[in-house]
Amino acid sequence: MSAMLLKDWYCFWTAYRKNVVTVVILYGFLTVSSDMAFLACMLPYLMSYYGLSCIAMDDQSGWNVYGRTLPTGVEGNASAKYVFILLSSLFGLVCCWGMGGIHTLLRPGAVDWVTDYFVAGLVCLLTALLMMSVIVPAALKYGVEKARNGMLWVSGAVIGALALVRFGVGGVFAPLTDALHGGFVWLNDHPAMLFAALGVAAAAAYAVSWRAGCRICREKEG
Amino acid sequence: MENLVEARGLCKNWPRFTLGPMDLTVPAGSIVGLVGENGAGKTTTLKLLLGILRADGGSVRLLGSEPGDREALAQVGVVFEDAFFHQSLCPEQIGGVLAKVYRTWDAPLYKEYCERFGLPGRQPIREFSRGMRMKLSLSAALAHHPRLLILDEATSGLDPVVRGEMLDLFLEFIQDESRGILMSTHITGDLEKVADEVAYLHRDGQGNGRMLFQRNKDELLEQYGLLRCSHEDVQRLPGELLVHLRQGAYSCEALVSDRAAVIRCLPNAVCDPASIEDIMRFYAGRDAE
Repeated sequence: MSAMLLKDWYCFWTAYRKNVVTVVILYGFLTVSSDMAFLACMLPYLMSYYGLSCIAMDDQSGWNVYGRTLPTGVEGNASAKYVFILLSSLFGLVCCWGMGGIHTLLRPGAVDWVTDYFVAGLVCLLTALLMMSVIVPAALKYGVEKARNGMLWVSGAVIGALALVRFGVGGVFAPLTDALHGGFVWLNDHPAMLFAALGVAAAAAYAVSWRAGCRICREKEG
Repeated sequence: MENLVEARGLCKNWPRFTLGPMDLTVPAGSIVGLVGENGAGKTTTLKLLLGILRADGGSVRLLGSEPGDREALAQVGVVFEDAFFHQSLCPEQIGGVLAKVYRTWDAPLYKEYCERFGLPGRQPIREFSRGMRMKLSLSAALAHHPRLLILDEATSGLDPVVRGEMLDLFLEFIQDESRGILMSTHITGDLEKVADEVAYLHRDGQGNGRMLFQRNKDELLEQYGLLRCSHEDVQRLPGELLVHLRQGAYSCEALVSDRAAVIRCLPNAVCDPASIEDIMRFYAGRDAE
């Protein structure tokens, strides 16, 4: 797997280094200058998407064929993607926290580092991992383009469903709205529970997805 | 003699294409050329042998193991026409990755091949010409001291000088008699220069791929003949000698399967040795009719 991870790192670094540096500088500048901490918190999420780009680069270069002629096993390549996504989203988290530190130093009192950056960044990281748990196996099976589009449709459907519940005509969904609202209030009062639930869910989903991703690659023909 | 590759009754079925059943062997110490029309299944065959595709029937032994076996793949070097590292990478980075893939990776040898082929170590592959990319693929395939080389159209699209360099490299590689090469190509002239055996995968009238023969190249070229004679002469030939006949207004041209027998039968006719290209052309013409 280390060889495949090195390959993914080279692909990422040669193709996207300027893009990554630009994103980090731009987001950092916007975050500090506009007091918009949420922009920095998006970084773990954005960085996780570079892992998908590595899958797209594999597709473009015919790695599904060439990689199978190497004595590394196809699972190694799939595992490398999961490790890469984990590392890149952690890099995003570190950037987010770093920007928070700079923001706090430059504009004291404008933000609270713990809640606005530390907690929010972690939540974004766990959410990104949950999202990737769904997208990566789909990308390995159907290709990145279809997986991204599929995820957009699913996200749209979820947001649409929530909007329907929220603005449901004639109070049809009132009991559901109340229940959801109650749930959010409860979570807000018990942040530790939110973290624990999200952390366990993200870890479990990521582990299951990793296993599924390896299996998809094993069963897929080149 | 040991067979580095041995396929028996190999077949693969798709809704609109069937390959095989076919037999194919690559004896140690030999170069086997796999020829065939576009869409006959040459690349599919190579993928089946390597375990990239799963066969629907038959058996394959690659260096004595099942296709896809890691120990076997560690001794195989592969060049595919359109499958390699991403084009943003450079030869040095590719060497770095492959050094972690193969236990037997020989970094100085890889560097030597790159220098010999004039490949800049830090230039991205996307800036390479097609010939340079193929040379890089071949350098990567050779630098772990493989026993078997599997090449898919490795010389197509290259100029004659580069092709000549690559063919020289193949001949150099095969000096060690425990090694072998299986190469698919459209350039039959290359095979006539370096191949020991020729396997002809033919796309038949139904569009399916089937192995017509795997024969020693020299015997094949000696046995098949291109006959040019009158219509009357052709009538005197036994039918089993004729593979396919093309009739012109005043004479006819035919591929015959036993040149010596034809010369005995028609001593005054012109019957030249047929090239691999002639053989393919006539078989394809026969099925088209």
